[in-house]
Amino acid sequence: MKIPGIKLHNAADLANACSLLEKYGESAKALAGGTDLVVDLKQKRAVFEHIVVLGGIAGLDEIKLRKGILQIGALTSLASLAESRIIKKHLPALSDAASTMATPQVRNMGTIGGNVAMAVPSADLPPTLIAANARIITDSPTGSRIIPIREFFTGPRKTVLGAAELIREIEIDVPPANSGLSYKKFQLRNSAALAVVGVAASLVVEDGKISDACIVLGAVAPTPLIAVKASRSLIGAKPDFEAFANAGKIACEEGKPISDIRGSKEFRCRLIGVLTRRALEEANGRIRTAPKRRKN
Amino acid sequence: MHKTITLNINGRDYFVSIKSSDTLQDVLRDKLGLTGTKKGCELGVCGACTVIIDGKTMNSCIILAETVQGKKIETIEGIKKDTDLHPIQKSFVEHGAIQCGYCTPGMIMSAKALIDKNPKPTRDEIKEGLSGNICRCTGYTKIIEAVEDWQKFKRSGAKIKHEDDLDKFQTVGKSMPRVDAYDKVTGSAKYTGDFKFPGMLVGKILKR
Repeated sequence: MKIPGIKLHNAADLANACSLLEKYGESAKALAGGTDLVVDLKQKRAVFEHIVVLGGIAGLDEIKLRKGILQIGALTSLASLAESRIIKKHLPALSDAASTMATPQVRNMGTIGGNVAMAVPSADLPPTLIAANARIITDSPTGSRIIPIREFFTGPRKTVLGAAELIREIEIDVPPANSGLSYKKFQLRNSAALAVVGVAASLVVEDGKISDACIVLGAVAPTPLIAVKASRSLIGAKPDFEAFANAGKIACEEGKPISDIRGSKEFRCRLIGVLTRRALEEANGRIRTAPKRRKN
Repeated sequence: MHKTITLNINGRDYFVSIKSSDTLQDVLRDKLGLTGTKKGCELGVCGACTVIIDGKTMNSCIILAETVQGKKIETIEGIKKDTDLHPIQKSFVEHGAIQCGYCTPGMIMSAKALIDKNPKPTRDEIKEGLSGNICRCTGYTKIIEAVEDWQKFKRSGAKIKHEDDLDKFQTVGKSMPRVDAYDKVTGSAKYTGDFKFPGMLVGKILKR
Protein backbone atom coordinates (compact mmCIF):
# COMPACT_ATOMS: atom_id res chain seq x y z
CA MET A 1 0.00 0.00 0.00
CA LYS A 2 1.85 3.02 -1.27
CA ILE A 3 1.01 6.65 -0.87
CA PRO A 4 1.08 8.62 -4.14
CA GLY A 5 3.73 11.34 -4.37
CA ILE A 6 3.50 13.94 -1.63
CA LYS A 7 5.65 16.79 -0.45
CA LEU A 8 6.06 17.46 3.25
CA HIS A 9 6.38 20.94 4.71
CA ASN A 10 7.51 21.23 8.31
CA ALA A 11 5.63 24.08 9.89
CA ALA A 12 7.74 26.17 12.27
CA ASP A 13 4.71 27.48 14.10
CA LEU A 14 0.97 27.64 13.68
CA ALA A 15 1.04 30.90 11.70
CA ASN A 16 3.50 29.29 9.30
CA ALA A 17 1.27 26.22 9.00
CA CYS A 18 -1.75 28.39 8.18
CA SER A 19 0.11 30.34 5.53
CA LEU A 20 1.37 27.10 3.94
CA LEU A 21 -2.20 25.81 3.83
CA GLU A 22 -3.32 29.09 2.28
CA LYS A 23 -0.52 29.00 -0.28
CA TYR A 24 -1.23 25.47 -1.52
CA GLY A 25 -5.01 25.66 -1.18
CA GLU A 26 -6.98 22.52 -1.93
CA SER A 27 -3.91 20.43 -2.67
CA ALA A 28 -2.73 20.82 0.94
CA LYS A 29 -3.70 19.20 4.23
CA ALA A 30 -2.40 19.52 7.76
CA LEU A 31 -0.92 16.43 9.42
CA ALA A 32 -1.12 16.05 13.23
CA GLY A 33 -1.02 12.48 14.59
CA GLY A 34 -1.72 11.05 11.15
CA THR A 35 -3.82 8.15 12.40
CA ASP A 36 -6.67 9.19 10.08
CA LEU A 37 -4.89 11.14 7.35
CA VAL A 38 -2.07 8.69 6.59
CA VAL A 39 -4.60 5.85 6.41
CA ASP A 40 -6.79 7.92 4.08
CA LEU A 41 -3.76 8.70 1.89
CA LYS A 42 -2.79 5.02 1.76
CA GLN A 43 -6.28 3.95 0.80
CA LYS A 44 -6.51 6.83 -1.66
CA ARG A 45 -9.66 8.07 0.02
CA ALA A 46 -7.87 11.40 0.20
CA VAL A 47 -5.39 12.83 -2.30
CA PHE A 48 -3.19 15.74 -1.31
CA GLU A 49 0.03 16.89 -2.85
CA HIS A 50 1.23 19.03 0.02
CA ILE A 51 1.25 17.82 3.60
CA VAL A 52 1.85 20.45 6.27
CA VAL A 53 3.46 18.70 9.24
CA LEU A 54 2.36 20.15 12.58
CA GLY A 55 4.29 17.71 14.80
CA GLY A 56 7.34 19.94 15.13
CA ILE A 57 5.42 22.92 16.53
CA ALA A 58 6.39 23.40 20.17
CA GLY A 59 3.99 24.06 23.01
CA LEU A 60 0.84 22.73 21.39
CA ASP A 61 0.75 19.49 23.35
CA GLU A 62 0.24 20.86 26.82
CA ILE A 63 -2.64 20.57 29.25
CA LYS A 64 -2.95 23.56 31.57
CA LEU A 65 -5.33 24.75 34.23
CA ARG A 66 -5.50 28.55 34.43
CA LYS A 67 -8.01 30.55 36.41
CA GLY A 68 -10.58 27.81 36.35
CA ILE A 69 -10.13 27.11 32.64
CA LEU A 70 -8.71 23.88 31.21
CA GLN A 71 -6.55 24.64 28.20
CA ILE A 72 -5.73 21.65 26.04
CA GLY A 73 -3.27 22.15 23.18
CA ALA A 74 -4.45 20.78 19.84
CA LEU A 75 -1.50 18.37 19.57
CA THR A 76 -2.14 16.77 22.96
CA SER A 77 -2.16 13.03 22.34
CA LEU A 78 -5.13 10.88 23.22
CA ALA A 79 -2.85 8.96 25.60
CA SER A 80 -1.87 12.16 27.43
CA LEU A 81 -5.53 13.07 27.67
CA ALA A 82 -6.35 9.64 29.10
CA GLU A 83 -3.53 9.80 31.65
CA SER A 84 -3.49 13.49 32.57
CA ARG A 85 -3.94 14.12 36.29
CA ILE A 86 -5.51 17.49 35.61
CA ILE A 87 -8.11 16.03 33.25
CA LYS A 88 -8.78 13.04 35.51
CA LYS A 89 -9.44 15.38 38.40
CA HIS A 90 -11.51 18.07 36.71
CA LEU A 91 -13.09 16.36 33.71
CA PRO A 92 -12.78 12.58 34.16
CA ALA A 93 -15.35 11.97 31.41
CA LEU A 94 -12.86 13.29 28.86
CA SER A 95 -10.06 10.98 29.97
CA ASP A 96 -12.57 8.09 30.01
CA ALA A 97 -13.57 8.92 26.44
CA ALA A 98 -9.94 9.12 25.31
CA SER A 99 -9.03 5.84 26.98
CA THR A 100 -11.75 3.93 25.10
CA MET A 101 -10.36 4.95 21.74
CA ALA A 102 -8.55 2.75 19.24
CA THR A 103 -5.38 1.06 20.56
CA PRO A 104 -2.50 2.16 22.83
CA GLN A 105 -0.34 2.78 19.75
CA VAL A 106 -2.95 4.95 18.05
CA ARG A 107 -3.62 6.82 21.31
CA ASN A 108 0.09 7.64 21.47
CA MET A 109 -0.11 9.16 18.00
CA GLY A 110 -3.61 10.60 17.59
CA THR A 111 -4.39 14.09 18.90
CA ILE A 112 -7.40 15.86 20.34
CA GLY A 113 -7.20 18.52 17.62
CA GLY A 114 -7.18 15.85 14.92
CA ASN A 115 -10.08 13.95 16.47
CA VAL A 116 -12.20 17.11 16.60
CA ALA A 117 -11.16 18.49 13.19
CA MET A 118 -11.74 15.20 11.35
CA ALA A 119 -15.36 15.32 12.58
CA VAL A 120 -16.06 11.63 12.12
CA PRO A 121 -19.65 10.98 13.35
CA SER A 122 -18.54 8.20 15.71
CA ALA A 123 -15.68 10.24 17.25
CA ASP A 124 -15.48 9.79 21.01
CA LEU A 125 -14.27 13.18 22.22
CA PRO A 126 -16.85 15.55 20.67
CA PRO A 127 -19.92 14.43 22.71
CA THR A 128 -18.09 15.04 26.00
CA LEU A 129 -16.62 18.32 24.75
CA ILE A 130 -20.09 19.49 23.72
CA ALA A 131 -21.63 18.48 27.06
CA ALA A 132 -18.80 20.42 28.75
CA ASN A 133 -19.41 23.50 26.55
CA ALA A 134 -15.87 23.54 25.18
CA ARG A 135 -14.55 26.36 23.01
CA ILE A 136 -12.36 25.75 19.99
CA ILE A 137 -9.64 28.35 19.59
CA THR A 138 -8.33 28.57 16.05
CA ASP A 139 -5.69 30.43 14.09
CA SER A 140 -5.82 31.40 10.44
CA PRO A 141 -4.15 33.96 8.21
CA THR A 142 -7.03 36.34 8.99
CA GLY A 143 -6.56 35.95 12.74
CA SER A 144 -7.71 33.96 15.69
CA ARG A 145 -11.28 33.11 16.66
CA ILE A 146 -13.19 31.31 19.37
CA ILE A 147 -15.83 28.85 18.19
CA PRO A 148 -18.32 27.34 20.65
CA ILE A 149 -18.08 23.60 19.95
CA ARG A 150 -21.87 23.43 19.53
CA GLU A 151 -21.43 25.42 16.33
CA PHE A 152 -18.38 23.54 15.11
CA PHE A 153 -19.69 20.39 13.38
CA THR A 154 -21.72 20.77 10.19
CA GLY A 155 -21.80 17.24 8.75
CA PRO A 156 -19.88 13.96 8.54
CA ARG A 157 -16.22 15.00 8.31
CA LYS A 158 -17.37 18.62 7.90
CA THR A 159 -16.76 21.56 10.21
CA VAL A 160 -16.86 25.35 10.14
CA LEU A 161 -13.04 25.44 9.89
CA GLY A 162 -11.76 27.48 6.95
CA ALA A 163 -9.30 25.95 4.48
CA ALA A 164 -6.30 27.62 6.11
CA GLU A 165 -7.67 27.56 9.65
CA LEU A 166 -6.23 25.28 12.34
CA ILE A 167 -7.19 24.45 15.90
CA ARG A 168 -4.69 25.86 18.40
CA GLU A 169 -6.35 24.94 21.65
CA ILE A 170 -9.51 23.66 23.23
CA GLU A 171 -10.77 25.49 26.31
CA ILE A 172 -13.19 24.18 28.88
CA ASP A 173 -14.42 25.93 32.02
CA VAL A 174 -13.82 23.62 34.97
CA PRO A 175 -17.28 22.27 35.81
CA PRO A 176 -18.59 23.50 39.20
CA ALA A 177 -18.62 21.12 42.18
CA ASN A 178 -22.38 20.63 42.03
CA SER A 179 -22.12 19.23 38.50
CA GLY A 180 -21.07 15.92 37.01
CA LEU A 181 -20.21 14.67 33.54
CA SER A 182 -19.92 11.19 32.10
CA TYR A 183 -19.29 9.46 28.76
CA LYS A 184 -20.57 5.97 28.04
CA LYS A 185 -19.72 4.08 24.89
CA PHE A 186 -20.81 0.78 23.42
CA GLN A 187 -18.27 -0.90 21.19
CA LEU A 188 -18.06 -4.37 19.71
CA ARG A 189 -14.67 -5.06 21.31
CA ASN A 190 -12.74 -3.36 24.09
CA SER A 191 -9.96 -2.38 21.72
CA ALA A 192 -9.60 -1.05 18.20
CA ALA A 193 -13.32 -0.43 17.88
CA LEU A 194 -15.39 2.60 16.97
CA ALA A 195 -18.41 3.60 19.01
CA VAL A 196 -21.66 1.93 17.99
CA VAL A 197 -23.25 4.58 20.20
CA GLY A 198 -21.56 7.05 22.54
CA VAL A 199 -23.44 9.21 25.02
CA ALA A 200 -22.12 12.10 27.06
CA ALA A 201 -24.29 13.53 29.82
CA SER A 202 -23.82 16.42 32.19
CA LEU A 203 -25.93 17.33 35.19
CA VAL A 204 -26.08 20.29 37.56
CA VAL A 205 -27.93 19.71 40.81
CA GLU A 206 -29.13 22.46 43.12
CA ASP A 207 -31.11 21.92 46.31
CA GLY A 208 -31.73 18.30 45.45
CA LYS A 209 -33.12 19.04 42.00
CA ILE A 210 -31.58 19.05 38.55
CA SER A 211 -31.12 22.65 37.42
CA ASP A 212 -29.31 21.94 34.16
CA ALA A 213 -28.65 18.90 32.00
CA CYS A 214 -27.11 18.18 28.63
CA ILE A 215 -27.22 14.85 26.84
CA VAL A 216 -25.12 14.49 23.69
CA LEU A 217 -25.37 11.48 21.40
CA GLY A 218 -22.48 10.29 19.24
CA ALA A 219 -22.49 7.88 16.26
CA VAL A 220 -26.25 8.20 15.73
CA ALA A 221 -26.45 11.22 13.41
CA PRO A 222 -24.26 13.00 10.84
CA THR A 223 -22.85 15.12 13.69
CA PRO A 224 -22.88 14.76 17.46
CA LEU A 225 -26.48 15.41 18.45
CA ILE A 226 -27.77 17.23 21.52
CA ALA A 227 -30.84 15.39 22.78
CA VAL A 228 -32.71 18.59 23.57
CA LYS A 229 -36.00 17.09 24.73
CA ALA A 230 -34.35 14.45 26.88
CA SER A 231 -32.11 17.06 28.47
CA ARG A 232 -35.07 19.35 29.13
CA SER A 233 -37.09 16.53 30.70
CA LEU A 234 -34.60 16.43 33.55
CA ILE A 235 -34.84 20.06 34.62
CA GLY A 236 -36.57 20.35 37.96
CA ALA A 237 -36.58 16.57 38.48
CA LYS A 238 -34.93 14.72 41.33
CA PRO A 239 -31.72 13.04 40.13
CA ASP A 240 -32.96 9.47 40.42
CA PHE A 241 -33.25 6.29 38.38
CA GLU A 242 -36.75 7.12 37.22
CA ALA A 243 -35.82 10.52 35.82
CA PHE A 244 -32.70 9.09 34.14
CA ALA A 245 -34.55 6.14 32.60
CA ASN A 246 -37.25 8.48 31.33
CA ALA A 247 -34.63 10.78 29.78
CA GLY A 248 -33.13 7.69 28.13
CA LYS A 249 -36.49 6.82 26.64
CA ILE A 250 -36.91 10.31 25.21
CA ALA A 251 -33.32 10.34 23.88
CA CYS A 252 -34.05 7.13 21.94
CA GLU A 253 -36.59 9.04 19.90
CA GLU A 254 -34.23 11.93 19.26
CA GLY A 255 -31.35 9.97 17.77
CA LYS A 256 -31.25 9.43 14.01
CA PRO A 257 -29.08 6.36 13.68
CA ILE A 258 -28.46 4.41 10.52
CA SER A 259 -27.91 0.68 10.14
CA ASP A 260 -24.36 -0.27 9.31
CA ILE A 261 -21.77 -2.98 9.87
CA ARG A 262 -21.55 -2.14 13.58
CA GLY A 263 -25.24 -2.31 14.38
CA SER A 264 -28.77 -1.87 13.13
CA LYS A 265 -30.85 1.25 13.54
CA GLU A 266 -33.13 -0.52 16.04
CA PHE A 267 -30.20 -1.80 18.10
CA ARG A 268 -28.66 1.67 18.22
CA CYS A 269 -31.96 3.20 19.35
CA ARG A 270 -32.10 0.76 22.26
CA LEU A 271 -28.47 1.50 23.11
CA ILE A 272 -29.17 5.23 23.28
CA GLY A 273 -31.70 4.64 26.05
CA VAL A 274 -29.46 2.40 28.12
CA LEU A 275 -26.29 4.45 27.68
CA THR A 276 -28.10 7.71 28.41
CA ARG A 277 -29.39 6.32 31.70
CA ARG A 278 -25.97 4.94 32.63
CA ALA A 279 -24.19 8.19 31.73
CA LEU A 280 -26.66 10.20 33.82
CA GLU A 281 -26.20 7.84 36.77
CA GLU A 282 -22.43 8.16 36.60
CA ALA A 283 -22.63 11.93 36.13
CA ASN A 284 -24.83 12.13 39.21
CA GLY A 285 -22.32 10.05 41.17
CA ARG A 286 -19.60 12.52 40.27
CA ILE A 287 -21.35 15.48 41.85
CA ARG A 288 -19.13 16.43 44.73
CA THR A 289 -21.19 18.69 46.95
CA ALA A 290 -24.13 17.18 48.75
CA PRO A 291 -27.24 18.45 47.02
CA LYS A 292 -29.16 18.68 50.27
CA ARG A 293 -27.96 20.19 53.53
CA ARG A 294 -27.87 17.71 56.35
CA LYS A 295 -29.93 18.53 59.41
CA ASN A 296 -28.10 18.01 62.66
CA MET B 1 11.78 12.80 -5.51
CA HIS B 2 14.29 11.30 -3.14
CA LYS B 3 15.87 13.02 -0.17
CA THR B 4 18.34 11.92 2.46
CA ILE B 5 17.26 11.90 6.07
CA THR B 6 18.81 10.73 9.33
CA LEU B 7 16.97 8.28 11.53
CA ASN B 8 18.18 7.22 14.95
CA ILE B 9 17.34 3.55 15.20
CA ASN B 10 18.40 1.37 18.12
CA GLY B 11 20.96 3.97 19.17
CA ARG B 12 22.57 4.30 15.77
CA ASP B 13 22.19 7.02 13.15
CA TYR B 14 21.20 5.82 9.70
CA PHE B 15 21.46 8.07 6.68
CA VAL B 16 18.89 6.91 4.27
CA SER B 17 17.53 8.05 0.94
CA ILE B 18 13.74 8.12 0.98
CA LYS B 19 10.64 9.49 -0.72
CA SER B 20 8.36 11.74 1.33
CA SER B 21 5.58 9.21 0.92
CA ASP B 22 7.62 6.39 2.52
CA THR B 23 6.35 5.19 5.87
CA LEU B 24 8.72 4.31 8.67
CA GLN B 25 7.74 0.68 8.09
CA ASP B 26 8.81 0.92 4.42
CA VAL B 27 12.15 2.42 5.39
CA LEU B 28 12.89 -0.07 8.16
CA ARG B 29 12.03 -3.10 6.06
CA ASP B 30 12.89 -2.16 2.49
CA LYS B 31 15.76 0.28 2.91
CA LEU B 32 17.46 -0.97 6.07
CA GLY B 33 16.55 -4.65 5.97
CA LEU B 34 15.11 -4.55 9.48
CA THR B 35 12.35 -7.00 8.65
CA GLY B 36 11.61 -7.88 12.28
CA THR B 37 9.08 -5.04 12.13
CA LYS B 38 6.27 -6.94 10.46
CA LYS B 39 3.81 -5.92 7.82
CA GLY B 40 0.24 -6.82 8.73
CA CYS B 41 -2.79 -4.66 8.06
CA GLU B 42 -0.74 -1.61 6.95
CA LEU B 43 -3.52 0.58 8.33
CA GLY B 44 -2.55 1.07 11.97
CA VAL B 45 -4.77 -1.58 13.50
CA CYS B 46 -3.03 -4.94 13.95
CA GLY B 47 0.12 -3.86 15.78
CA ALA B 48 2.52 -6.18 13.90
CA CYS B 49 4.64 -3.16 12.94
CA THR B 50 4.84 -1.71 16.47
CA VAL B 51 8.01 0.24 17.24
CA ILE B 52 8.87 2.40 20.23
CA ILE B 53 9.42 6.09 19.50
CA ASP B 54 10.69 8.27 22.34
CA GLY B 55 9.41 5.64 24.78
CA LYS B 56 5.97 5.27 23.23
CA THR B 57 4.61 2.47 21.10
CA MET B 58 3.44 3.49 17.67
CA ASN B 59 2.37 1.80 14.44
CA SER B 60 5.25 2.32 12.01
CA CYS B 61 2.95 1.62 9.04
CA ILE B 62 1.10 4.94 9.47
CA ILE B 63 4.08 7.14 10.30
CA LEU B 64 5.75 9.08 7.52
CA ALA B 65 9.46 8.38 7.94
CA GLU B 66 10.46 11.98 7.39
CA THR B 67 8.45 13.08 10.43
CA VAL B 68 10.43 11.03 12.96
CA GLN B 69 13.87 12.49 12.33
CA GLY B 70 15.56 13.42 15.61
CA LYS B 71 13.52 10.91 17.59
CA LYS B 72 14.74 7.74 19.26
CA ILE B 73 13.35 4.75 17.40
CA GLU B 74 13.55 1.25 18.91
CA THR B 75 12.78 -1.86 16.91
CA ILE B 76 12.73 -5.55 17.80
CA GLU B 77 16.29 -5.88 16.46
CA GLY B 78 17.56 -3.45 19.08
CA ILE B 79 16.27 -4.77 22.37
CA LYS B 80 18.63 -7.62 23.08
CA LYS B 81 21.98 -6.77 24.64
CA ASP B 82 24.77 -8.25 22.49
CA THR B 83 23.88 -11.92 22.38
CA ASP B 84 21.80 -11.93 25.56
CA LEU B 85 18.07 -11.76 24.98
CA HIS B 86 16.03 -9.09 26.74
CA PRO B 87 14.22 -10.63 29.76
CA ILE B 88 10.87 -10.20 28.03
CA GLN B 89 12.18 -12.14 25.03
CA LYS B 90 13.39 -14.93 27.32
CA SER B 91 10.05 -15.03 29.04
CA PHE B 92 8.26 -15.37 25.69
CA VAL B 93 10.54 -18.29 24.79
CA GLU B 94 10.15 -19.98 28.17
CA HIS B 95 6.36 -19.64 28.20
CA GLY B 96 5.91 -20.83 24.64
CA ALA B 97 4.16 -17.54 23.99
CA ILE B 98 4.89 -17.96 20.29
CA GLN B 99 3.04 -19.86 17.64
CA CYS B 100 3.43 -18.66 14.08
CA GLY B 101 5.44 -15.78 15.48
CA TYR B 102 4.22 -13.08 13.13
CA CYS B 103 2.72 -10.90 15.87
CA THR B 104 5.59 -11.65 18.27
CA PRO B 105 7.91 -8.70 17.51
CA GLY B 106 5.02 -6.24 17.88
CA MET B 107 3.83 -7.95 21.05
CA ILE B 108 7.33 -7.80 22.52
CA MET B 109 7.68 -4.09 21.67
CA SER B 110 4.36 -3.30 23.36
CA ALA B 111 5.32 -5.44 26.34
CA LYS B 112 8.71 -3.75 26.62
CA ALA B 113 7.21 -0.27 26.53
CA LEU B 114 4.76 -1.36 29.20
CA ILE B 115 7.34 -2.77 31.62
CA ASP B 116 9.73 0.12 31.04
CA LYS B 117 7.00 2.33 32.48
CA ASN B 118 5.42 -0.11 34.90
CA PRO B 119 7.73 -3.00 35.91
CA LYS B 120 5.01 -4.87 37.78
CA PRO B 121 1.91 -4.62 35.66
CA THR B 122 -1.27 -6.36 36.78
CA ARG B 123 -2.98 -8.81 34.45
CA ASP B 124 -5.48 -6.15 33.45
CA GLU B 125 -2.72 -3.65 32.77
CA ILE B 126 -0.96 -6.23 30.60
CA LYS B 127 -4.14 -6.90 28.64
CA GLU B 128 -4.62 -3.17 28.15
CA GLY B 129 -0.96 -2.69 27.20
CA LEU B 130 -1.16 -5.42 24.56
CA SER B 131 -4.63 -4.49 23.33
CA GLY B 132 -3.22 -2.94 20.16
CA ASN B 133 -1.55 -6.19 19.07
CA ILE B 134 -3.61 -8.85 17.39
CA CYS B 135 -2.60 -12.54 17.50
CA ARG B 136 -4.51 -14.70 15.04
CA CYS B 137 -3.18 -17.96 16.44
CA THR B 138 -5.29 -16.96 19.50
CA GLY B 139 -2.45 -17.53 21.90
CA TYR B 140 -3.08 -14.58 24.20
CA THR B 141 -3.01 -16.49 27.49
CA LYS B 142 0.61 -17.54 27.22
CA ILE B 143 1.61 -14.10 25.99
CA ILE B 144 0.00 -12.48 29.03
CA GLU B 145 1.68 -15.02 31.30
CA ALA B 146 5.03 -14.33 29.69
CA VAL B 147 4.71 -10.61 30.40
CA GLU B 148 3.53 -11.29 33.96
CA ASP B 149 6.59 -13.42 34.57
CA TRP B 150 9.29 -11.32 32.91
CA GLN B 151 11.11 -10.31 36.12
CA LYS B 152 12.26 -13.91 36.54
CA PHE B 153 14.62 -13.34 33.62
CA LYS B 154 15.85 -9.94 34.71
CA ARG B 155 19.20 -11.09 36.09
CA SER B 156 21.73 -10.85 33.29
CA GLY B 157 22.69 -14.30 32.10
CA ALA B 158 19.39 -15.71 33.41
CA LYS B 159 18.71 -18.82 31.43
CA ILE B 160 15.66 -20.38 29.97
CA LYS B 161 14.76 -23.74 31.52
CA HIS B 162 16.70 -26.64 29.97
CA GLU B 163 18.68 -24.27 27.73
CA ASP B 164 21.89 -26.16 28.53
CA ASP B 165 20.24 -29.52 28.04
CA LEU B 166 19.49 -28.56 24.47
CA ASP B 167 23.21 -28.57 23.69
CA LYS B 168 23.68 -31.92 25.38
CA PHE B 169 20.79 -33.47 23.51
CA GLN B 170 19.21 -34.33 26.88
CA THR B 171 15.76 -33.28 25.91
CA VAL B 172 13.62 -36.39 26.06
CA GLY B 173 10.72 -36.02 28.51
CA LYS B 174 11.28 -32.33 29.02
CA SER B 175 9.27 -29.42 27.67
CA MET B 176 11.72 -27.54 25.52
CA PRO B 177 11.48 -24.15 23.90
CA ARG B 178 10.37 -24.41 20.29
CA VAL B 179 13.24 -24.68 17.86
CA ASP B 180 12.51 -21.40 16.09
CA ALA B 181 11.70 -19.47 19.29
CA TYR B 182 14.96 -17.52 19.31
CA ASP B 183 14.51 -16.33 15.73
CA LYS B 184 10.91 -15.37 16.36
CA VAL B 185 11.54 -13.28 19.49
CA THR B 186 14.45 -11.43 17.91
CA GLY B 187 12.70 -10.67 14.64
CA SER B 188 15.27 -12.59 12.61
CA ALA B 189 12.77 -15.25 11.50
CA LYS B 190 12.05 -14.79 7.80
CA TYR B 191 8.53 -14.88 6.41
CA THR B 192 7.63 -14.80 2.73
CA GLY B 193 7.31 -11.02 2.65
CA ASP B 194 10.74 -10.60 4.25
CA PHE B 195 12.75 -12.11 1.41
CA LYS B 196 14.49 -9.92 -1.09
CA PHE B 197 16.44 -11.14 -4.11
CA PRO B 198 18.13 -9.11 -6.83
CA GLY B 199 15.67 -8.55 -9.65
CA MET B 200 12.88 -10.13 -7.63
CA LEU B 201 9.50 -10.28 -9.33
CA VAL B 202 6.54 -9.59 -7.09
CA GLY B 203 3.17 -11.12 -7.91
CA LYS B 204 -0.15 -9.83 -6.74
CA ILE B 205 -3.49 -11.57 -6.66
CA LEU B 206 -6.09 -9.41 -8.37
CA LYS B 207 -9.66 -9.94 -7.31
CA ARG B 208 -12.65 -8.85 -9.29
